Amino acid sequence: MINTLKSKGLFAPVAAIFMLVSFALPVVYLVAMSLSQYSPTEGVVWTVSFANYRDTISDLFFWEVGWRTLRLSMITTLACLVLAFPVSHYLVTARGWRQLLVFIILLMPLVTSVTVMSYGWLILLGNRGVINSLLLGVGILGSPVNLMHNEPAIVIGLVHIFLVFMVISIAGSLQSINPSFPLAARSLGAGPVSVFLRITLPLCMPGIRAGALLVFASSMSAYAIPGVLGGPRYKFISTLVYQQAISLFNWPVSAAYAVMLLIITAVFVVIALLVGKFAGLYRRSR
Amino acid sequence: MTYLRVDQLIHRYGEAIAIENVSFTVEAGERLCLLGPSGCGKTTTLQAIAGFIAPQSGRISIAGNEIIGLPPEERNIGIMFQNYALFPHMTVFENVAFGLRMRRTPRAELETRVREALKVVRLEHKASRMPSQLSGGEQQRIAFARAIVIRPRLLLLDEPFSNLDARLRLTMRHELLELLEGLEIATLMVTHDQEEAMAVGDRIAVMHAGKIRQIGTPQELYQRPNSRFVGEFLGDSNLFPVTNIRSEAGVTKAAVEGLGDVTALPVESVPHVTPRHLLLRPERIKLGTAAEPVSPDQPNRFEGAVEHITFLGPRVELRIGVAGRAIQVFSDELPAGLKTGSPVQVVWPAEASILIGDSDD
Repeated sequence: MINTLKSKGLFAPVAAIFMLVSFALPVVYLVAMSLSQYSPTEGVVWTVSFANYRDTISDLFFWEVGWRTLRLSMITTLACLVLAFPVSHYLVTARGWRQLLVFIILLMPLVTSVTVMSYGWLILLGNRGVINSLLLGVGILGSPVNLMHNEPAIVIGLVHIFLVFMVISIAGSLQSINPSFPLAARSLGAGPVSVFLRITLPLCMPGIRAGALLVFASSMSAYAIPGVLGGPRYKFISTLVYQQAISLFNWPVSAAYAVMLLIITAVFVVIALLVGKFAGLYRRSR
Repeated sequence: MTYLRVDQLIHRYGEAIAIENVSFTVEAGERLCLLGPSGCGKTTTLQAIAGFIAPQSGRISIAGNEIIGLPPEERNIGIMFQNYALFPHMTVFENVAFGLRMRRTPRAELETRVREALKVVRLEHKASRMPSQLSGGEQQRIAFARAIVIRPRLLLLDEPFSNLDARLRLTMRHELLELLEGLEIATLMVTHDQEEAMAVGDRIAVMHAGKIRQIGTPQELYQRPNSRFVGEFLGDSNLFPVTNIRSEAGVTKAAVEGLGDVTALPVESVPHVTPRHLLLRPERIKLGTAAEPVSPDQPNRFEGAVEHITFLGPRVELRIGVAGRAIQVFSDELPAGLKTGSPVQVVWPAEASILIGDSDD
């Protein structure tokens, strides 16, 4: 008893220190960096200037990349949402080795290096990849179709690696729905579609919200998948951050891009949360 | 007039037989209780009627219309679930209104009918609450209102009192009975509690191992069980093995080892059933003491000694040793001067001696 109390008392400061060192300090450092200037001769010159932000905001190319990042992340989130329902349903209802198999398939991307997976998609989607070879061999195609280095390829790759977050979140919600609820709704005259829309879906909202946040935030900061599957033309903001920091050694501009990415992601997460909250309030007030 | 007819219902889960040739009828406005231990098939029967499972064979009809094959949403059957199954994301009003919304009831009529249903269960003032803000008893009343507001053809009650604590259970039983009596709707209740079944049911069907063992009024089942299982399930009992039965001048005598001849009611001519036991309800046995002996012309009169006394308030439970046999006796009061070791007489009328077959007969 005394031991658990002691460890409980210790837990909060330990967590606080961990968050401070691993999260708050780097962000502060990043923001400070984004306010400095880059000099080709001296490297980072520590100043407090918004010049980097002014340049970024007035840079149309940044917004083109930013819009793509945002758009593809939202499409990825929606695609995961649609795909996750049947998969979660199967995961919750299946028993024994089937359930285990689905779990392993879902978790596979998490234990595999993202770069390896991206190259896996390369083998499938490339001009001389499995799909093109197959279609050419059967005679459906006369010449290879470009399946890679486009936006759909990026979405496919992102869905592949992030689906698991959505599935686990929604499966958690589905699992907690009392099995009598759908039956009660059926007995009251609701068909399967009404049961899904009026009972299952609303009761899954916490899981949907959590899953959507995870997938959206992860997609926004994705680097390897857009890099390999999008090719040089279809960049994400993280690609720009990498280029500035590693190729051009311009850490201040790179930091400003990173902070902009953080702000854009945060703004959309907050908007999504508020919309969800007001929808909930509206439903309750009816 | 037969209202609900369940005919030769059979259902298996894989190899396991859940129900085997279950047949019964419910009259219009009648309340029938399916009573049995867990795993006896009563819930499977309920689910088959509700449409949640499709039985492998058999027929179910309501007012002459076959309902097997209809999905649950087209059966118009009101169900009160064991855990009430109130939708947690909807207010009390929306929960009750759900069935009417599914039927696209016009707004004004919907309002009126929901208010009426809430008035019946006396929870009008809680219409805007969420289910989680209600007590267990209130949740049950809302579940009832939700089931009846759709004007169902049949009401199914699944273990309605098992989620309530003992004190509330009795209150809710009275309340539910009152509500049901006001409605006159054909009702099927599933329960494992014989007292609830007797209190609520006009008739009871006792189920065991997927089969219906006996159907009858509570009195019939309690006083004239057709098997050891039904007799023992309906209440406390003394059970004596019977070695021989003979009829002497219209009086049936059953030979019980240690006691000798016991006078009983004539055995009804049930084919394939050989009476093997004599069942005796503890409360039918009267006690005689040295101070107040029972009259000597009583037929079933035996001498014994008090082995144990348990005082329970409204009744006293005694264990009486008679010729090496322990007999359980319930008495509403303890005869004066009786204590452990006292000599005592036990006596019971002929009609209290019930001759029955074995559990498997």
